[in-house]
Amino acid sequence: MIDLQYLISLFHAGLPIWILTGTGLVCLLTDGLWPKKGGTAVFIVGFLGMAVALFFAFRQWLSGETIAQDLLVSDKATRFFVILVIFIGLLHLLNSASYFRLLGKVSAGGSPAGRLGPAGRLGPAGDMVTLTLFAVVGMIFLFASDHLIVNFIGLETMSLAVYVMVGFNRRDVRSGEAAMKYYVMGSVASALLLYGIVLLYGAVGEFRLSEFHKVAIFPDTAFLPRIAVVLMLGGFFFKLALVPFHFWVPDVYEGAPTPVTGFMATGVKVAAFALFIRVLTALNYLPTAVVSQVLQICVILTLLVGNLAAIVQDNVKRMLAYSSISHAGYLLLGLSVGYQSGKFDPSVSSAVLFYLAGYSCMTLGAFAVLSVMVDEKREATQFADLTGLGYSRPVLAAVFSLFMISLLGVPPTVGFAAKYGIFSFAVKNGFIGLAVLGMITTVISAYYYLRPLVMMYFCGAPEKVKGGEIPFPLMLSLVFCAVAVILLGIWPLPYIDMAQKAATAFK
Amino acid sequence: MSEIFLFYLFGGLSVLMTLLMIFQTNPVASAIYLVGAFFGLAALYVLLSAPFVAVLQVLVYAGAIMVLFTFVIMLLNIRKEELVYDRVTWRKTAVVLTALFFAGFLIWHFLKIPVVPFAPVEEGFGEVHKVGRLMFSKYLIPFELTSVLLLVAIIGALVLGKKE
Amino acid sequence: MINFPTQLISLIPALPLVGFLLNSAIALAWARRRKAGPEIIPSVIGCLFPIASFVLAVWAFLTLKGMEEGASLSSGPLLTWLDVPLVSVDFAFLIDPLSSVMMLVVTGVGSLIHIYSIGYMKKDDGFARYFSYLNLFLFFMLLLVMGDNLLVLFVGWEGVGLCSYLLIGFWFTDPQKAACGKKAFVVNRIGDFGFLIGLFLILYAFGLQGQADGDPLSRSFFSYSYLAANKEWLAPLATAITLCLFVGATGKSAQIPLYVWLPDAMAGPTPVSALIHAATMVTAGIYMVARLGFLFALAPFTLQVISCIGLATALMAALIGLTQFDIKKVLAYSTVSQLGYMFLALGVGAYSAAIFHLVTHAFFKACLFLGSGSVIHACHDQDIRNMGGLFKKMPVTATTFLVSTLAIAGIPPLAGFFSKDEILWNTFLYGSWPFYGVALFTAGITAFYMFRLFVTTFLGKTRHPHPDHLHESPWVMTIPLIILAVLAAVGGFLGVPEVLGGHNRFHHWLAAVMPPSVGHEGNPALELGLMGLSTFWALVISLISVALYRRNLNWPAVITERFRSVYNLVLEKFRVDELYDALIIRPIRVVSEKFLWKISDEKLFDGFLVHGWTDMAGFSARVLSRIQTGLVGHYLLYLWVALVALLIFTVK
Repeated sequence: MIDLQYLISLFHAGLPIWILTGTGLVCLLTDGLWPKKGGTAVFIVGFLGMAVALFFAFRQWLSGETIAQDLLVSDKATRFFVILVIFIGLLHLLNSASYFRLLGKVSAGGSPAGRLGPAGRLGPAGDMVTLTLFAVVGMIFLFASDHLIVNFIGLETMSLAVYVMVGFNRRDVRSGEAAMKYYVMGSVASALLLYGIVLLYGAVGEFRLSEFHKVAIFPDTAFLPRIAVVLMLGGFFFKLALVPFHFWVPDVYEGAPTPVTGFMATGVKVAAFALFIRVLTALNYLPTAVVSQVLQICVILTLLVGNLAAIVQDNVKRMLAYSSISHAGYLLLGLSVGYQSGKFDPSVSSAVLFYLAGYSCMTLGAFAVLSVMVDEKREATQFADLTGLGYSRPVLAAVFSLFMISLLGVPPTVGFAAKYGIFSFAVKNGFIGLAVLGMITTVISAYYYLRPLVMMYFCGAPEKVKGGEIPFPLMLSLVFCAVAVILLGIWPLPYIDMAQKAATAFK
Repeated sequence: MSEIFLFYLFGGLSVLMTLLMIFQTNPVASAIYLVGAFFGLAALYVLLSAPFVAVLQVLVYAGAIMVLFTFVIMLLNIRKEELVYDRVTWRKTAVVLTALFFAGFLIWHFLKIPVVPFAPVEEGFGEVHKVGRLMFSKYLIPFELTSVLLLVAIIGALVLGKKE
Repeated sequence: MINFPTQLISLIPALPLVGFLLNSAIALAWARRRKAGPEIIPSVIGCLFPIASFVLAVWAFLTLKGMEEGASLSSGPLLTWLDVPLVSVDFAFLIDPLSSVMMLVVTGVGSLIHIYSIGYMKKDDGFARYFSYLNLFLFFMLLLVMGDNLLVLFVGWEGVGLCSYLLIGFWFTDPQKAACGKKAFVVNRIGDFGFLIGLFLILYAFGLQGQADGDPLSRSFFSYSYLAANKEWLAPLATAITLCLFVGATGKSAQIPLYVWLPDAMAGPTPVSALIHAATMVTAGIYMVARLGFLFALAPFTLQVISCIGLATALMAALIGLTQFDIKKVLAYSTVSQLGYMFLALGVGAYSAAIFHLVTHAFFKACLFLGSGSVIHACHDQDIRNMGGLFKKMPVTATTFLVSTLAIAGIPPLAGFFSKDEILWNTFLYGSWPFYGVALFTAGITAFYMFRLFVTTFLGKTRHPHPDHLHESPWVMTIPLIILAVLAAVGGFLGVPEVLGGHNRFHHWLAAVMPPSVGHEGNPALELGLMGLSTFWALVISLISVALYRRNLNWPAVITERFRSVYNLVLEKFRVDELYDALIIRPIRVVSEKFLWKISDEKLFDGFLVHGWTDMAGFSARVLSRIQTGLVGHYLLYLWVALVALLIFTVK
């Protein structure tokens, strides 16, 4: 009774997803069949699979036709985000492979080679590859459907994988602690989101976001969607790490293995924003006028808290955690200025889409640099560890400086182009106050973004020279991120054009 | 009206059991109360004309999973002294109060919804045959995605649980 | 002949870029090994790509020549660089008569100097680095002359500045040389600041016209064709725009008041001085003014300023050149002086004469610099008082040097005569007797110091401490010298004026893209007469100079003694550096230190604005981090409170 035609079209619509899922299974098998050399083989398989998926995602993007498929949206916006998250996944693979190799090497120095693997191997990163693949699959389902239940299962798939990834450094107590915290808090957030979805279903009798324009709300149940929306917003704000739902972020980001932190700060956020834009667009058909005010309050709090708290941090990862909070604030600013007389205009999301792409490049790059900062079995990511890095590892310090000034938003980097896009929409739509706040907080952020530069270049030589080469995969991801940061900064037009094409799909 | 009455009965039972579970200091007793809560939920599924889900709820959750829970608790062999007893602090009081406030708030609003009689369901609704067909046709994607979710959970448990 | 395909246009600048990439890879590899490899690889790479560019440029030139007048080759927009409501900029190249001339000079002279460098830089540690910089320079220079809009020109403009800085400070381990590079960079920034303001003023002027919307073509404010077609919109601001652009030109082309960096730029390797600081980069200002001739024609006041500054620079630099003993310094001041001539020509509206002089100057000045490099290569010294009698030791160098000296002195029929005389004639036509007189006088001084240089270096007895070590340079160095000397000798026949029976082909070639000269029609007899006068004048002065220095008569010293104070003033380069130091640098230092640093910075900004705010921010940040207890329970509590607050706010 299953319609073959339906299956074929489903296959075509979600081709990158099926490739990723299949690769995940193959990785699992490879890891099981060759446990000795598993790490490297799994890494290669996973990397190739992702690259193939990326290729097909690009082909889908170029082909242009929209395949309307039950429960699986495959429009321009979805394809944009699919490409973005697969890129993030690929870069994460490169980062984590190098990170565990370094950690393994360092561990092998003193103690007998533990489960972190003998020197030069990828160690237990085999599981990391598999989890990354499934996390990316989860991310794609999180936004590649207009059916809230599918979205939710996608969210859970992603979250579970990321919980485990956070606790991956089993030797490090902080890693386990972070995983536990994230798990407990994340479960609450998921519950909120699920409760919100269910209440929304109770109110409108529809799970499909694209059908919301058809539903009629009875006046005596009008408060239901409001409660539902608040609960959903709570869940979203948690995943997007927005104030006041951000308290878990610094602890978890600091404790997680460095590449995983980068993955969380980019992949999770990108996917959540993708669904968030879809949901905001659908909510236009419900009487939820206060949403824009809620968003604005949240923007103000996030920008202030994120930027101020980052100033006093001693750990670069923790600083970057607050930095990612404040960037989520800028992104939300870009969305909240889309409200004109209570209705959300999704065309502003083109600036947000471009910002997400640029933000992913610079954040992943920054975390890639930190992934190399491994010293004597532990991560060395305190500010003090950066001292004199400009002299002992000039290339690393140079690209880190590049990512910092891009995060700050200095031309000619992508950070500037992205912020410019957001603020110009804000001014155009009359949200002068928010734009000014954004600019002021950007100035504040200079303090903590430039601090690493001061440490690296002006604070004398390091106590001990921590030279050492940069592993090849990491070099690859560093070069990619650095080139992207500059390329998108000096010649952003084609990518802004892509974002605009993608944004038109939201309606 | 008997449906409404039954709904409140079993719903109340579930809530009560869950509360008891939380306030128990003995983990085994907590687990038993959780089984009770699951039974209440199963009854609610029956009321919603979903007998298959109700059976699954009893079989899988109240049965298999709870057995696993109990085993784990017994294997851990927690002694009473190790369980930390909490004191009542202002913070906890505040949480409880806001929780009560929130609950009251929601209840107050929900009570305003007019009671409508349940719409009749179509033939065979909620039966194994129908549910299975839906799962493999209309809801194929979420169904398969759920299997990925479970796989991730298994891998996660292995990664975090296996010996170093 | 097959026409030059327009798709290949971008290849012309791209080839040196490829050379740069390859050579820098080699340089990096060598630096990593801490050992230089065989020099043949970078030299082949470094020379082949510019030569290939030159071949393409010749092909493009021939194609352009075969087309009807006023035609041009355009690459079309290679990519849209900027497209915002304010302005749209395409990255595109344009080959018209003017840029084709510049391309030929840049790639042709550039290739010769690349070849010469193989010999000159032999056994230098930075061999590959040197060639990579040189290739990069060619790339930016081609960008500058081939870009079809001002922004591409500006990219090239800044790029050549960067390469100039890198090459002046090429031997950066010597702090003095590094400081010279820095000086060039800083002085050029001052000029670039003016240039940028000029660009913004153009934007502003078009913005006033409300041309902000519509298709990208109507917003490509910076492209030359757009500027030319809509120049009347710029008319109200033309004087301000052109003055600002001219400030940029004074920086790049070393005119008063920003010429001070060029003599110091001689710290770089000599071929660099030949290529960048004589033949190509320093002429960028002239090219820019000529390119925007239609705009400058709208601003007569600016043209007057240009002619005055050009003349003053020509005279002053020539006077300083009289007193210098460093062989390269003499040539440097001579370059400044000749550039002044070109600006004089631009100022009197003789654009094609300026470009003509630019071309011939590129030939003979490059030859002179390379010759001096050959001498320095042999003597390991730059002071002409320690030379002398090199003619016998280095016959090829000396002969080529002599040819170029004759050319720059304006002795017919060498190249310099024709181009310089065209400038003088146009100045005369411009109707200003004092201008003509001063220009003629300066031509005499030029002849004088050039022969002084030649005679002291090559004739007489050798004063070098080790005369046996002196030798002729290898053929890789002498062949470019010979080619350049031939060009310096015959280059002038490109533009033989009508009055001598020629057709002035150069003038006609550029006529399509240049505004017509503003001068009145002259009397052929008068023109011939003046030509005779200047020839006579140059010959006499040359002979006097030769006689004075050849026979080692005492009276240069006598004159020097008689006019001690004047001589010292000139010897110390009119104390311009000191003047700048006293007038600009020291006051700025004092204000910076006493007011800006101690009061404004430390008290106001640091004390109040920075620390005040950071204290506040730090305080609030500490409060925030107090909340961050690290306990999940607390976090859940915050989440809960936030949610309830949100709910109350939303649902009420």
